[in-house]
Amino acid sequence: MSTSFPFVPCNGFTPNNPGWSTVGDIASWSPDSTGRRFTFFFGLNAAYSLYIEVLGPEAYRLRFRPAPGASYATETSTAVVTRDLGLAGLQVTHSQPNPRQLVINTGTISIQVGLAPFYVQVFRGSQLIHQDAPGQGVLYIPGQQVVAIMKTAPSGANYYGLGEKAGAALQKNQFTYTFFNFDNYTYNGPSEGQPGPLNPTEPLYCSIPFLLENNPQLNPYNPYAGPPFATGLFLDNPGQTYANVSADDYSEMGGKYYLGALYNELDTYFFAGSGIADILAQYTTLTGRSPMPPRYAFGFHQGAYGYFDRYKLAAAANAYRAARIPCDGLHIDVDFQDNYRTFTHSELKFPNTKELFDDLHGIGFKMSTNITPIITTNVLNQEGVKAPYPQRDALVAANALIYDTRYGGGESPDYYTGGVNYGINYGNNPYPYPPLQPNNQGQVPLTAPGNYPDFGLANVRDVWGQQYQDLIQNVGLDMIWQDMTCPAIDANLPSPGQQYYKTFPQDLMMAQEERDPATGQVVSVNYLPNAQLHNSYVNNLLHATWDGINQLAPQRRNFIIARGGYAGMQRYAGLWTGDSASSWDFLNINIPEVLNLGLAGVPISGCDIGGFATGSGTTSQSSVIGGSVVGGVTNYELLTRWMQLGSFLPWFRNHYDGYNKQFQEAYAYAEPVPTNCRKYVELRYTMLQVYYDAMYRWTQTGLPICRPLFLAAPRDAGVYGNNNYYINSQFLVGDDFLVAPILFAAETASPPISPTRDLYLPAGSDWYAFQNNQAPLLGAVQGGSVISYTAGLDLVPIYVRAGAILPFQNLEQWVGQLPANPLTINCYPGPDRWSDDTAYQLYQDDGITQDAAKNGDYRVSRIYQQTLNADGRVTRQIRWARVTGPYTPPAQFNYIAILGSITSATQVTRDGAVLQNVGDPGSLAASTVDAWYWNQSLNIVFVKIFDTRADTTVSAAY
Amino acid sequence: MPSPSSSAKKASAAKSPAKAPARLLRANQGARPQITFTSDFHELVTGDLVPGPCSLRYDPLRLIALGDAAGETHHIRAYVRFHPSRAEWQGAMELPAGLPLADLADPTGQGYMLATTFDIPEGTDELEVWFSCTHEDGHTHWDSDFGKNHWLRFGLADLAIQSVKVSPAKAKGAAQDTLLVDLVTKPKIDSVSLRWRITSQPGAPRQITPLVVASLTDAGKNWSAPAGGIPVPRGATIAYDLVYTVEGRTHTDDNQGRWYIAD
Repeated sequence: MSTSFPFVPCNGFTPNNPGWSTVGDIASWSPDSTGRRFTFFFGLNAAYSLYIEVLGPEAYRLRFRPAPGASYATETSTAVVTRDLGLAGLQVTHSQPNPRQLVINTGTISIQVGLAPFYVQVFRGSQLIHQDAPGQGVLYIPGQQVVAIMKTAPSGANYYGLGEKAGAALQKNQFTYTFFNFDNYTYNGPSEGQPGPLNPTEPLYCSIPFLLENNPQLNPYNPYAGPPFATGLFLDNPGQTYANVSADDYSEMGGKYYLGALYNELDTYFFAGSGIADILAQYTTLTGRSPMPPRYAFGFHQGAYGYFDRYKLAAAANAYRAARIPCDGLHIDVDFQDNYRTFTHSELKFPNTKELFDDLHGIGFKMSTNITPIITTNVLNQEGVKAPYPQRDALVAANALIYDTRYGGGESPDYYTGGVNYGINYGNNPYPYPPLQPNNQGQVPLTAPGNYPDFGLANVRDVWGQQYQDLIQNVGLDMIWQDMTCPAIDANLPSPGQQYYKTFPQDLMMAQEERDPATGQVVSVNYLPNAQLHNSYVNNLLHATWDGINQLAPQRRNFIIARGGYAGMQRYAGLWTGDSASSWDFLNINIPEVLNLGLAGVPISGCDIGGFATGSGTTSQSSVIGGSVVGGVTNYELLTRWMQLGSFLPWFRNHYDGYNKQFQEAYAYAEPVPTNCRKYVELRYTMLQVYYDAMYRWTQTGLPICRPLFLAAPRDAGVYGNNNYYINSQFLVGDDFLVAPILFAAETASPPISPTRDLYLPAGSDWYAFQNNQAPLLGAVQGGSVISYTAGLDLVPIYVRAGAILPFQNLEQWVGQLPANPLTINCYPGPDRWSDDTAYQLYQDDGITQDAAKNGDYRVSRIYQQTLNADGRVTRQIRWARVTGPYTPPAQFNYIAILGSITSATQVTRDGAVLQNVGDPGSLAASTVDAWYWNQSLNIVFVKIFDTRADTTVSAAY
Repeated sequence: MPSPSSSAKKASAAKSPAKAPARLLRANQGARPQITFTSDFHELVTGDLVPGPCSLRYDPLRLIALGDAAGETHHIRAYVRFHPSRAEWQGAMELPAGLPLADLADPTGQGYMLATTFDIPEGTDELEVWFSCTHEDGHTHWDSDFGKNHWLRFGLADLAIQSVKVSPAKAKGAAQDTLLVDLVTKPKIDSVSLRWRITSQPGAPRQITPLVVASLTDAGKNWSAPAGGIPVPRGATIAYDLVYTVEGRTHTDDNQGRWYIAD
């Protein structure tokens, strides 16, 4: 039966071919009592129906279940948390200007529905901004469940989002995609054409079928002429889904795009706005945002498959501290477990684990381990004796494990048994994994059979969450590394015809809760094949973990880093982009992949820096000599460039396969690798507040931390120049910090080449080469310029927008090392930012407890700056005003750095009171009162102000 | 385009009884079969002897040195003879289109599996498998166990494990428990040995105990441990697999690589 649900590649899903039905003429329609939902009946005997429901002034839902007599009374989404996208006070009207048309008006947009045939257009005022593809629109095949929605792609529109996808291009135009959570080791899975990280047609670990359309209107044209606009289309469907943006892979798709699915409903959400930010705000309202993560999540992390005992782990921890490379997180793989028993830890390999963790906490590390959704059937513990496995027993007692019931078959009394494959122990790991034994080559294939929880049920999620108790409350685990989330199942298990899946059999039956949309209560439970629910398994897993750890550690801020997800996963976890390999190709896809995740609602993501697996950038084959892995080392130039890029992306973790690589930690390389990496890890830590503020902004608006260039300059055609090279290889951290890393081999190229790249500075602003307050600012460069930048391995090209306000702090080796760490507010010369809208928003809390979320114990401030010219005198003013929150930071004072002070200020005042010029940095540091000095070598006026006033203004007159 | 509609309707009553099932003793019982030829010259039989589709996976590095793969094309062909019918199947192992083999081989030498599927006819008891590889120069190399071919059997079909358990000594203070074996095989199985080890003593050598035929019926042979049982340390946990011979050829049932654990 499993072959009834095949994996279908991109070009096997063909809604643009003949043979699909359209809605056709509407037989009847009616609004519901709210006046927001309009149901349309069509087809033979008017047996089919769909509805359009207005969710806000610029959003609607179109829902179509392709079955006669379909009911829409319940909801099953794991992605959506609210469908109120601005309903308060919303007046929805409708009219019928002629018998063939219904116009639904929200006051902001009008949805014009053709009735004969059914056809949807959306207008903003008189400007057309969205429409179905003529003659297509909603598509289905009667008697099947395949569905699609075909749209017109306006000329000049650019497409983004879709979450985690391979490929080196930021834009989604001209590509085709499929979404099926897949354990795509080194991105070599099923694809159209040659597989690999550059091929976007592969399914990956995370599925988010949310497509953004941006119309900057650089060359306005009919019928869409008018102001810039953006739209978004989200297909909420946990089965295998597809997107095709004008890719002619099996048919002529010019001027069109579609989203579609093999099974389930066509459940789409449409959003409109003036720009991408408007769309993201609505999408992340629909699918939810998380509270602020712990601040250490933005620190540097190190993980390895191969930290298999206390001594390996402690050696890495101590080496980081000795090398003075800041680091916050240590991630231990399944090596941590007692014989691959999920939720356990090994006192054999990690004696006195609690004490060890306490010690590591004492030097600033936060501990994480791999939790995979497998519950092993192995009755043996690591000592080779039959031993209780309480966590399994609890799940069994709760009837939480999936039975081996297949679609169309009778109930099975047995659990479904899959397994994990953790590779091969070539002899480097001396610990036993009974009953596993070395083969005739002395190698131990590391596998474990097991069962899987049915996370679609609330009681299963509850029991799963409780199983973290020992790790969280007794061992002292800080965060969760949620792995194998598809779930990934041993590819070597027999599954003829399913070699691509590496996950549950497609016909395996699992639970899905149906809820009453009004009450949110479960009204029934469906049992459906994995093929229909596959992509939602991970959301339910993350939900279970999130609720569990928050109940077990309610006072602290918890964090999950996950290897997969579905739309809405951002409520629970950050994402790393799976098993990358050590290659320049993987480095090159890092920026588009992370930026598009941000444009699909996931603010925290990043790649396994250096590559998890070996690849073309691995310098030698590894072997085990004397019980240790030798070789398999990542090219030093690749590692350096990857550490540098990663230092600017939201999730910053070096992670590697220590069973096949000798090392990958920067400290383990010869100089100058540690120095060149340390420099940017240190920069990360000194500018951590910038990330934290950007994260807070995401919690309020959905705007990602790392942003593509076009968000910085929406009307600037130049950002798309050089065949999109700039938008593919540059990005901004927050609003004003532009990074253009080197992403190619230079020193180790054959022959060596210059590490020189072109970078583009968006028009509309001037830009300063970033000096990190180590040298005076050079002259501002006008936006719209292309710079040819040569950057040796000690340098990343960075520019800062004129007028930027960037809060930095003193260097710490880990977040929270300094009991009090004052901010230095770097104020770059440039345009005034003296209004609430343009001011920098600063968010402060304790970074680790729930006090901010639960008690409002945080502080939001706005920082403004302006330059006054009066009577030939220049005065630069910085205003720092609290907006809300009772939180008091530990630092009793902060600094304001007024960059570009090419002469000393003649006078500095605070709220009118003249401050003392103490003349040098030592005196400023020692000053117990507000004071200032001018650093002549840096051209910066530093002002020290004590945190005593809710609203204060510093003025420096020159 | 799939036609999932008939199979994608809401299913009901799929949730099974609340009582927990026993843990499976034998992995992949009833599962479709899969045969894997690894680059380190293992021939792995997984799944059960179920007539119908069987997955065949083959690492081309068995026939082509990695260094020779670059720049050349190679054509690998699989041959299967089913016994006792002697019906045959043969087919090309599918290489992804447009890719030289060298590009498929992992740079670390871990290899790349070619895959195909064939049907096992009803009544099949044993498979005889071999491979050929024709190179650009016209020469052909064979993977045929030096001309004898690979003879593959399914332990799940050949052996029925009735009971393998550690029986506690009844005498107080006794030094040893007893490992008891009760299994039934097809009549054509010539010999069976139990390879066992004590899982709590990873350094201890593996023991091999030939089993003896306790009884013979039309349904098969009943085997047990010699001399009424195998002495083992008290409270020992025993992992084991079964090695058996048919017509002089040796086969292993190691519970699909997971070993069996004695009750």
